[in-house]
Amino acid sequence: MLNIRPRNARGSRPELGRESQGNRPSETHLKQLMTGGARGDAKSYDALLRAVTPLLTSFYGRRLRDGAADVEDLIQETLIALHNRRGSYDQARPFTPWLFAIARHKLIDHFRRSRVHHPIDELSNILRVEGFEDVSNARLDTDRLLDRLPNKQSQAIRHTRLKGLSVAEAAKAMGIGESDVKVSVHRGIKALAGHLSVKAA
Amino acid sequence: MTTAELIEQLSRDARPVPRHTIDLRVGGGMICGAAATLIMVIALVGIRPDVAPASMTTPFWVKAAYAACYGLLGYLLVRQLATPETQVPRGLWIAAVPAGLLMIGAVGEWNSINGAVQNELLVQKSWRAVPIIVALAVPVYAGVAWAFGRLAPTKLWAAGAAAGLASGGIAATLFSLTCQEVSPTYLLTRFTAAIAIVVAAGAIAGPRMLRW
Repeated sequence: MLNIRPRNARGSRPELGRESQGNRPSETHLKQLMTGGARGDAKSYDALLRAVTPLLTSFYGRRLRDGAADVEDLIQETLIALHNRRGSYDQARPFTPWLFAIARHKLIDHFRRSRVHHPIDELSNILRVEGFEDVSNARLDTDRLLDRLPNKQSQAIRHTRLKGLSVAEAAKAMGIGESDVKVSVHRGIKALAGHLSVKAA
Repeated sequence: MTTAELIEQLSRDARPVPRHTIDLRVGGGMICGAAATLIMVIALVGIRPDVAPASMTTPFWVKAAYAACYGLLGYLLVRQLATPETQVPRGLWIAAVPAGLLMIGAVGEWNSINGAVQNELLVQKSWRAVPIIVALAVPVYAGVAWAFGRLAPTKLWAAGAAAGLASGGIAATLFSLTCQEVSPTYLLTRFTAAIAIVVAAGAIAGPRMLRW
């Protein structure tokens, strides 16, 4: 199965929480700090928030072309949300997925609030939320890009993401199964990102 | 305010977090809501006068158990959807079980009665139980929405639907204290319809009420 990874200077997705890469805190360390904070240890909690901030900076930095101001705002909003809703963290589960689930939720909400009804931005939003490399340098002509994909993939993406149909509705319109639609969208988006990386280079 | 200043402020507020915060908040919210619903039942609808002898009969408990199953399933789904990583909660299939079992009883009853009684059960007998149960669900739903305020649901329509299931189930359970019907067909149609409506309303309200 083709595993197209996004072009990334660091060679891996930092938010996957693998072993410490230089200064990047590991999952184990973060979880320790979070657990300490949950016990009421202010020092651990402070260290946790400081450790989380650069993770959020890179997470949002790669996904927002608008630049520093928005990223800073989002980071602060996310830290506040993290603080207010830390009761939702289950200590039996890993910390990093919890962290990034919240970050992703805040990002989607940000896009929803600053909604721009422009098909080009729709597509770049989709790619940004999915975590692909900065697309702002590439000139996006939505239709031309989608036409480069196999018919099934471009159709699936048009239906579910640009026309806003549900997976079920798209499946019906295309005469294929629902999981077929999901797989096609997924592969199509990865292929699109691949095309865009080539263009940006 | 800079991020560093914000972090300083937040870490000054580093109160300990109970390990079972989700259970405590959701359970607490539901119990308070249920208490308010019970008051509504006693004061506005009225407990059935024969509640004492009725509580010795099977139908009384079947009604309560049917609704309580959905309340419990709702609670379990709400718990799962309170964490941000949850996309698809587990155990959804359980929703088919109580209705499926009750349907067996209802079909049995249906086949044993004549057309006139069938008509009476479906059409002529009151459906007022449905709006009453929906109204009774409101305090419990409010309780769950309160609980979500310090939790992190990311699939808001699903969280709202689960909250609807929990509150519809509890409302129907408490409603059964007022209701003297014993027919499985009646129970299946009215109670299930009411719970389904609260689920749908919850799903619609979720993205608006639970946003954070």
